[in-house]
Amino acid sequence: MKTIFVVDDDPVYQRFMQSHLNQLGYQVKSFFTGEDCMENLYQKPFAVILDHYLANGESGMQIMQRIKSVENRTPVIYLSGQDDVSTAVEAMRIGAFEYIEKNGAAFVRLRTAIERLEKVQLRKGNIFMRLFGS
Amino acid sequence: MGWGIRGFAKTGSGFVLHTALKSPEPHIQEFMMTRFSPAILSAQCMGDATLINEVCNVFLELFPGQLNALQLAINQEDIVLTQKELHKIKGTIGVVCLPEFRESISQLEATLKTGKIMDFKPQTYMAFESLKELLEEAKQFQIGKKI
Repeated sequence: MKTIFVVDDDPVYQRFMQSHLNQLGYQVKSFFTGEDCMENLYQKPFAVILDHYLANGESGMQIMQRIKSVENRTPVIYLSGQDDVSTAVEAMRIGAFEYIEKNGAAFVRLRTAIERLEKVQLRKGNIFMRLFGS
Repeated sequence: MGWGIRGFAKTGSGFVLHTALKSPEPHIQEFMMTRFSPAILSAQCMGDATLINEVCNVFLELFPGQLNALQLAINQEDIVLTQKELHKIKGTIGVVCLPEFRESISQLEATLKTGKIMDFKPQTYMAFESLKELLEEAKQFQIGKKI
């Protein structure tokens, strides 16, 4: 079973996320801080879902930059409570796979993003197989 | 029209369902005002009954804790902490409430962020009360009552 990391300092949203992702067939590991997530990155999660606004003054952007510097291939889905274009642009510039606002359509968009991510990974796998054989 | 009146007041043509329900009588409109949205919850859960139930249970289990934290912050008159708690709450309620209600919480959060707020306690307390009502509506929904 693939594992998705969820980094959010809000326990309610963590649980919402867990319910949705479990139902989609993913195992979920939740972290309250970016630091905890970084320490577990060696487990190579299928994706990291990262909140913009973390506890202890951590910024989701900084954590994403650190993730990308350590493991560039790990897809990051960036969540934010703010409807702010500049935050979205900045997140995508740093390398977010998707930017999702925590609004009434958040989980619908999350599902779509994960389905898209599965397709991208499958395509990458197919190309690898074609180039290097089985 | 001030923010508080637009978002939370129980008089006038304040809240969103007033127009949605098209009731001619103001007092009936007030009675029918609601914040919880089964439609939003269902859409978020792709109509999956098990998931709706699970998400609603999580909300009912954990949202009171968020409300307590908010109340504490308001009582301490700590604007920064109140803004942070409202930010979390905004994310949480987006899963179960009407977009307009979430927007009103979002506006309050934005106002607090600027630090330029008059009548901090009454405004935030009004928001707190309406969030409590949201919780009550969610409870009613979960026990199968029509809201």
